[in-house]
Amino acid sequence: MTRLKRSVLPGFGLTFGLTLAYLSIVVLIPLSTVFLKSAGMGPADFARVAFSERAVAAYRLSFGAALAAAAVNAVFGMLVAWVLVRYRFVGRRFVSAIVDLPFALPTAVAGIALTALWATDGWIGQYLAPLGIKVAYTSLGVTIALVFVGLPFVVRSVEPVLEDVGRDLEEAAASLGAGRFTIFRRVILPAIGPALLTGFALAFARGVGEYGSVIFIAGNLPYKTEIAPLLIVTQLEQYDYAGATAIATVMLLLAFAMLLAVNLLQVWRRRRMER
Amino acid sequence: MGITVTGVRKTFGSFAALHGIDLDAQPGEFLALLGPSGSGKTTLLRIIAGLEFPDAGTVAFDGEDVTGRPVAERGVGFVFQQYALFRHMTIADNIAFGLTVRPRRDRPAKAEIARRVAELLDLVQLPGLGGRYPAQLSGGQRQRVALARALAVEPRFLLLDEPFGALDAKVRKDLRRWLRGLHDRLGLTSIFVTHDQEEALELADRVVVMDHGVIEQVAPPADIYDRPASAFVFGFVGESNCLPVAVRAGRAWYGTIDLGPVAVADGAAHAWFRPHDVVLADGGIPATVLLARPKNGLTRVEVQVAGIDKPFEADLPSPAALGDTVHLAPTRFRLFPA
Amino acid sequence: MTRAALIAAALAFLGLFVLMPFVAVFVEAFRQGVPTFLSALAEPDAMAAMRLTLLVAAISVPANIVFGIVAAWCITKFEFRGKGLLITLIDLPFSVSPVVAGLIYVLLFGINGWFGPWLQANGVEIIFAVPGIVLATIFVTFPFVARELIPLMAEQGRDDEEAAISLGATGWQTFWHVTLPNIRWGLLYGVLLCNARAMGEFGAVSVVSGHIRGLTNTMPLHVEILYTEYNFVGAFAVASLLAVLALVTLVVKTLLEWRYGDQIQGIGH
Repeated sequence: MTRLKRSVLPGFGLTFGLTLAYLSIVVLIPLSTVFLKSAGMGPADFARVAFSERAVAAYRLSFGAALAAAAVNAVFGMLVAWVLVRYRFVGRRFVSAIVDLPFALPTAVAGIALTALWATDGWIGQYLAPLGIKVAYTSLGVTIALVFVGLPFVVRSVEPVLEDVGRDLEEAAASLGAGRFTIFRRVILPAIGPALLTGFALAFARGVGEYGSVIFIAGNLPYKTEIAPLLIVTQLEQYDYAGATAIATVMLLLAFAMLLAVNLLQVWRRRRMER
Repeated sequence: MGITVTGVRKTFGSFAALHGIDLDAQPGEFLALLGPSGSGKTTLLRIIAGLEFPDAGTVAFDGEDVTGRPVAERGVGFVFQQYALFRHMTIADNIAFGLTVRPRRDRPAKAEIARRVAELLDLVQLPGLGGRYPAQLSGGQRQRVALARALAVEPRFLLLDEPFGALDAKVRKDLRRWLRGLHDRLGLTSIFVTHDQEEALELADRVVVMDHGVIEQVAPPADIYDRPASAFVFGFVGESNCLPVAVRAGRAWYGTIDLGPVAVADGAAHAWFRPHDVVLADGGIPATVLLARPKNGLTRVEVQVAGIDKPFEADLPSPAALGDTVHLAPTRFRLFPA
Repeated sequence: MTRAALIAAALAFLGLFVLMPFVAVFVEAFRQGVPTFLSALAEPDAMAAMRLTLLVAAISVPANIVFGIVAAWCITKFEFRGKGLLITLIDLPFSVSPVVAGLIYVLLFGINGWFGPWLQANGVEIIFAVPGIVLATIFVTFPFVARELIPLMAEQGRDDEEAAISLGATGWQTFWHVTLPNIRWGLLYGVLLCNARAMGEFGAVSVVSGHIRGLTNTMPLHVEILYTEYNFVGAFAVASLLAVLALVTLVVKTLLEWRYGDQIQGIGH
């Protein structure tokens, strides 16, 4: 990273140096410990702990629930974004603020509140129990917690793009004789597609790593309702640093892959906008 | 003396913005840098100001090399295209900014600063508006505040980047005259950047026409229009037509049509001429009328000459009907290499 | 009517999945009446948790404000190679699981960590102590201010600063008198979100805290302890304070967006 030109504004050396130093001390060096420790384990040992039966079950739950929750959010997040952008109704600003609640509410608070709602004797759970539907302490409960934390990502990704698409595009399509479903499928969906995918990816990434809102409602039974972040905590509590680190490595690699995917999506979006 | 730019080069990444610029501005002169976007005119102005630094070459003020000197020490007033007024400060605070940021020992007393601000507000014809905020002013007023702010530090040179670029046509015309008057009163050496030829020709003592990072011509406005130094200048300033010709034995020929004597060597060339330098002539260039409309008591026609893509424009004394074939001859033209 | 149906569906979804958990916090907190609620909050361990949470926020938020401004200045006022990479790295903590964020500090400063033996020999406690909690909080709140300021300052450009410099201002004068007033609302917005996360962080802090009552328990951790002890009213009482914090954050955020929307970039972008 080198400076290309002399600039009139002062402070490049100072701010660049400080930024890099702080970034290294707080983020880069600590994160590197995970990879260095994993590298020190040797491939066989690493694979044994990182992909033990229990760990794989935890990944399956974390990834599966995160994927399901992101899918739910893709649909309902788009719906919420649509309603917020296209319709003017009383309390719209209030509804818009509600969307950010999962960003603002501490995860542990969300976790115990969700459990209070969805437990078999809870506000909602008590009506589901007679139907044979158990939510809390099952993978369904995990998914519901992840729906909560992931919703704003989709809404806030789609909203600005939907604003850009504008009504005139739809009206143009309608004037050309397109039906409403056709307009949605051929005009709106392609326009917001990349943003929707970005929101989906962000919600998924957040869901995979989520801890606080999930552990209260999850049940935390090994092989059944134990999420990957919880497994890391459990192994740390048993002083199994190697096991915890190996699982953390897998999760970090996935997180970086998602980050890369989101960045590529944004590049794709920009290209489409310029076209 | 004045401003002297010698051999200035500048590249941004792989884009060469300026290739070896030599230029000087005489003391008290009002100089326009005119060119299309990407011609390097703003980069040159910013290098003169000290807002950018050249890769090679020097900038001298009154004979003194200032190339490495930061903008604050050059004694220039710079007016930004979008004015760059500090929107959270009042107009008075904006104008006073350059004085209030001085170290204590060089800073004028509060009363003195207030006096200077009032004086400058009078100068730019905005008396009493010192308490307002930039957002409460019109575009033309903001432009004048930006000027007052630049003048507050008593610069030796005034540099303006597209000073009228953000204004609408009417305001632009008024402000143009006012700025010229102000320049004449203050006698400051000034350079302004514009892409608007009318603005450059009306306002400047001399016009510097730039294209692709080189200077095409430096001349007084009348010469720029009447004696363009290159095909680019001819095409960029004023309306023009371009005809491919062949020079044989001291005469320019379009096919078998003789356009008249020229003083260049034999070979292919382009003849450039203005629409008002065209007459109807038997044996002239045959052309079909595409469009005709009245203009300043003449008829402006757009005509198609067989084999030439871009239609010609000409001002003719008599009305013409669409589809007519007319024969045209340029009365004055300039030849440039093909 | 499609409009009404779509609005109803969106509201039902938001009500069920987002608003109801929020409401439940308060209902559960007051389930046994106001006196029980108040005594749960007045309990010494709860008070200690509140103090620690405030302390942690009071250190980590200013640290990230300074960093955010410095990084945004560097990135938006200069051209240099690798800028895109730097922006990505600044965003990195957002994509790291909070638990992993805690783990990395255990690997560095824990008893078996890189610096563990040295720290122990010199009697410095980081893990299972306040410094560890602060570090983990700084990590998870690292990007908030910077990512708010970078698009804002990029959009504002360099003209104002160049104008100030050309009028003779120093770098500091330019920053204080020109840049800072230009970015104040965006900065406040970023600080607000940073603070909400700092006070509410659970996963990362949980890993490094050691859960020592009255000493290394922040409010979210205290909520967990009370909850696992089946002291539901106590847990929801402390949780309700955090929910109020979220509410205040949302209200101020909405006000900022409404009043100064044009001076805050990247709202949801």
